[in-house]
Amino acid sequence: MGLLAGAFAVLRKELQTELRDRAALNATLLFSVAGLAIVAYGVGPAVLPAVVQSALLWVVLFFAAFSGLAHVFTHEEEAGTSSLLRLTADAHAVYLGKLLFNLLLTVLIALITVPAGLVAVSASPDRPWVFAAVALSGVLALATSATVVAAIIARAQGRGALFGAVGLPLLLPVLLIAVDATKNTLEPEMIPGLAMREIVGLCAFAVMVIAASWLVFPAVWEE
Amino acid sequence: MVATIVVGLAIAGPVRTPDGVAMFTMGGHGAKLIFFHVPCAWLASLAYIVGAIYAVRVLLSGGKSPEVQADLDIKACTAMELGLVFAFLATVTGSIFSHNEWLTFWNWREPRMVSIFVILLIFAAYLVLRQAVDNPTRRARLAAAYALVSVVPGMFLIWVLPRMVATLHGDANQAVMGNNLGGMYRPVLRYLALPAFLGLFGWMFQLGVRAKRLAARHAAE
Repeated sequence: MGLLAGAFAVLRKELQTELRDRAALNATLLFSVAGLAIVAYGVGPAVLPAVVQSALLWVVLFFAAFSGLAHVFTHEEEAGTSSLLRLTADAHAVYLGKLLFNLLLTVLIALITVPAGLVAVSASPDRPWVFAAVALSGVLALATSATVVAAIIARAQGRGALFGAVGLPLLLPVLLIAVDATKNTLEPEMIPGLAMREIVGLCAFAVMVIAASWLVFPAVWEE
Repeated sequence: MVATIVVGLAIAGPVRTPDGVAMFTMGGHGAKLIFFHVPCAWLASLAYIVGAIYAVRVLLSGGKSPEVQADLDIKACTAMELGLVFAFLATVTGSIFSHNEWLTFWNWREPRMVSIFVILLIFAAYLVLRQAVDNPTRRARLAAAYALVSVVPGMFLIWVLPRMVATLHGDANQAVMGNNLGGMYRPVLRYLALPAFLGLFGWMFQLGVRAKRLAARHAAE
């Protein structure tokens, strides 16, 4: 089986198992809605500056996505299916398939969280497409970093707390740029050049993380 | 003997340097904190690089004997521990310096402050990750993988971010080597503090490695 065929087979397996037992998926989606509700309740009718709106949006998105992204690797260890997967699929195919699954999951979470989050903090971007591009590139950087950390912590003890502790330091630069870029798009006078540069920055980060993960993944995954 | 002389000079140099410095507004001895702060930040970066190099070697040593891999892992871990210590010292001294000079202990819009803080977190996360894995071979591999992946945000913070936003540290390249310092500050920093702190790092590194080897042998017996 070629690399891409293998990757899509792993992706299809992930989709099937997640849709068969929807507990993890539902918990993740509910967590994002609950997080939003807390932010909306805390903000109330207040008019917030763009920087606070953007920071709140990203904090909700980060925690919502983070709560669900480890599952793709931890469920293999919990169910004891990882050895079987190791035998049947190439390490890089496993990485790609699981990365694709996490990308889809994060986009799904963002599709729920971001529009509702905009309502919650009463923000309306002047150019929705630029805003969407910034959000998408941030989500890309978030999902790629979280996936490799999930692969690492799945093989350690105390996974839940460890995922946050080990993953967040890697994600702080993403958060920093994403909050800055989103603030720019929410401001009345958006600077298009700045938005472009930050989108490129976030995508470059994602590509570098994928490259680094690609190199180290076999050492993490194989026995 | 040589080490003692260099360290002695590194302490005496700053004391004998005139108070205050052109680019800083504060007078008195406050500015001399940079003789400690800058080398600590250097050593934190150096520890990160050394740790990453040993991490690569851990991952490449897969086919060799477990002892070789374990020894490389000890070196990577020691470098990361030293990194945590020096990143912490650089953060604290930088914060005090910032308070003296800019009247604020911390500013999240200052990229060098953010990057030293994130690197501090990465060192800590590396060590926390190690504690969470019992199997030594797996621990060595997972820790090495994490160290290498964390190089990406590390590079981003050190080279990309300071160029994307304005910084208090002056030009990012120049500030690293102390080129923007006036008077005796630059030569003292470069020719006394740098070798002295490098020597200190080497000494602490080999002490840490020897202590861990002994602990490993003790645990095996």
